[in-house]
Amino acid sequence: MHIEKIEYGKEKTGLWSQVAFALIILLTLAAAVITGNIFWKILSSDASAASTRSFIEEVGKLLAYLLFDLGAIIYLYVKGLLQDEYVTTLE
Amino acid sequence: MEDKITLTITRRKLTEIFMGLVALFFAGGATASILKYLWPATAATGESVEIKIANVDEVPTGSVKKFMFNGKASVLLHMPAGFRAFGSVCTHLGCIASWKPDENLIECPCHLGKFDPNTGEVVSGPPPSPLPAIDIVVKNGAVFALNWKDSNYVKTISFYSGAA
Repeated sequence: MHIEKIEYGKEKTGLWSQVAFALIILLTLAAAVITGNIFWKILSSDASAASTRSFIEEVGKLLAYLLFDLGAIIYLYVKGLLQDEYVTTLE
Repeated sequence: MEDKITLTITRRKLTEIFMGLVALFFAGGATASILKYLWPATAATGESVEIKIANVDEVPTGSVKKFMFNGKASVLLHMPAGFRAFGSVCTHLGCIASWKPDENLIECPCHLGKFDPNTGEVVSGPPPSPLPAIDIVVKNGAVFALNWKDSNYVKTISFYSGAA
């Protein structure tokens, strides 16, 4: 019977990895700012302003930026920081 | 004796913590937004709060502006006799009634209930009662909604009626 066990090695190192980490921190801060902006707009706007087309478009744009930002973070996380995986087969 | 405590944190762990904090922030904002939607400032209380509907010059005589009041679809009309505001959820089955300038009436498209734009009274069709009136005030060049004339109105209709 074979049992496969996944083990994690050390984090990736090197310049690319350091750049990715710095970018992740910056993009995470940007995500926090965009998130705060979205909910501040929603919570502080009165009903008449919040039901206008321009308001909905503005919030939609911010959500698109946030989605793009999160996508970039995940890409950098996987490509730049993720640990190497080792598969060990146990007999 | 070793009394030094060493805390090791990897970049990967730090990234996960930051992302977790952003996710918590997002969840908190989303929850607050949902709560605000479910319990709008003056919902069902009859409390008077001025909510700006439009500037006077945005709604010339004979025109209308749709707006949301306490989470319900509403309409501001500028009639020759002055401004009028009503909830536009039809009192028949909850469709959204709209302004018909050619007939000078507010009409519900579902079963052709017609309402007087000055009083909200039923002119014809199946609606059992008038459109609910909204108290308004005009000041500083803008029209503000204050409250439902009937403070029990929001309690009496379906939660979802006119919410979209």
